Amino acid sequence: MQVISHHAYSSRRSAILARNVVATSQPLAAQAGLGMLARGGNAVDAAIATAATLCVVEPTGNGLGADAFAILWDGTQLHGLNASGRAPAGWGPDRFAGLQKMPFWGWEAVTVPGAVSGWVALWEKFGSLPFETLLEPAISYAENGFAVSPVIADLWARGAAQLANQPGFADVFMPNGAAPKAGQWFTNPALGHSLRRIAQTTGAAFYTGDLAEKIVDFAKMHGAALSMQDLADHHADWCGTISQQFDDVSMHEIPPNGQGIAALMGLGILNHTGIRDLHPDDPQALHLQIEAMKLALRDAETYVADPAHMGHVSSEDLLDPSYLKARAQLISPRQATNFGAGAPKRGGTVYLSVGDSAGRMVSFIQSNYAGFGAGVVVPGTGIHLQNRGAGFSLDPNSQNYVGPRKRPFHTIIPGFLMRNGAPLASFGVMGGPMQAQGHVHMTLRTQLWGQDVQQAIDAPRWRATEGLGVAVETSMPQRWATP
Amino acid sequence: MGHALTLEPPDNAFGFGGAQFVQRLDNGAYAAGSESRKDGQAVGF
Repeated sequence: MQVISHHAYSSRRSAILARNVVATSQPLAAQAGLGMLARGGNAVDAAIATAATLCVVEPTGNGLGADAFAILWDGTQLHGLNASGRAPAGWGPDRFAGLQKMPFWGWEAVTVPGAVSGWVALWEKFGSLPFETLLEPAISYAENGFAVSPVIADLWARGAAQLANQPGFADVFMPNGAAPKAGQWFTNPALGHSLRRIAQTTGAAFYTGDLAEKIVDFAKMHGAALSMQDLADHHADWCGTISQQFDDVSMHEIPPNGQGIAALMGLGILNHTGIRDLHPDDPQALHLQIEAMKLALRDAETYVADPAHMGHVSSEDLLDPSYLKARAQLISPRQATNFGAGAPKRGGTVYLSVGDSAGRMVSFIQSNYAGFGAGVVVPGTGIHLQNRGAGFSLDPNSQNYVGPRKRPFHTIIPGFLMRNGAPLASFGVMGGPMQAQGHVHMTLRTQLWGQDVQQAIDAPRWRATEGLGVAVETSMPQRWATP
Repeated sequence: MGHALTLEPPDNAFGFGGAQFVQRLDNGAYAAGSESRKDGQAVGF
């Protein structure tokens, strides 16, 4: 039998209803998390086990070289975690002099990986099972192998076509010279060993120990700036959340350096429109959402940066209710407007959501940025590094101008909804520029329009791109074709 | 209305993203949905 990624016939799913749940983009990883819950672990334990397994089974979106963010309800309160890495100290302005934009692939796009620090920070504060236990499924799939799943196999082939010549890539990700096909068995024993070292040292090997040395030795060999000091200085931050009210629901996002604020702005702008009177698939409802998201994304692209560098325009300025109301008034009810938005780059990312029977809920996202990331794989470790440095601007006037020890603009965002002070939903939509608009789609479909979780996911999607551009799925209703 | 529409097939797996959504019900159970454009699933007990 040939395993295929393109459905010849429409397939349907029902929502899963249970006291303990895990949802993510790869089945083995979802079940790794569920296994921790079955062993008496909590939602945080499950999230870490799923995140570590995704590094192995979905390298097309994340790995040990990724960044991560999380929002979680611990049973009594909400927390936000920023586990994104910073630029190497050696990334002064001279390093990229003469370039129009940041390098996209290779070592010059690699920032400090934050994901492992995120797992450790979550576990230290909320974990209940031993840290080593949480990494067991990931280690097993890396060492013993797994059958590559169909959509991931497609992404793998695309990544291999772009990255085959990057340092170390083909040795790990192109066994026998090619990307593995759907159903093909794939092992990554070096990655298994790295995961074991992380498990044994609660992450220390990665930031100050033997894995750090291997990463930095390989960086030096290629003239890259990343140093032992950069890795040792890294820390994840408990950063809280920022929020936006819409009727009785409040949407929570991680504060910048991420684009989550664009989802809040989009929802805040829609507050001042007639969206509530419209059917979810009414072209007018789409029009209002598209225009609100274009306004929000244009601002996010212009102003979002490491918060330590958002001196002129802050998150508070962008979420000011009177400002959002004024922005809403720019929307013409019948005519698309070119607000000048530019779309951020596409992303490869993984997202997972967990709820446990004690009421804890975790919204967690992890990404190497574009697909596999920079394409750089550190020999003997299976560690493939992100290209998040490409998120920086080279415009010296930008708040997001590249600089040493600075965090870049980030596309990946976990979402969370609260109602009357109680947790309501843990959710996310991976995929570069789709994320902030996806958060708004999902929130409106499930909360304003009362669709069930699976229905809201299955609904045809659109994506505001640049200028007046809107990409829509070919499965869209006929009446969308004329807006 | 003047939007410049482009059509993309839904199996263009990153173009339209991948959603996962867990919502708490009043009885303490959850409803979980998983992206039909991707390989994954929602699981529970």
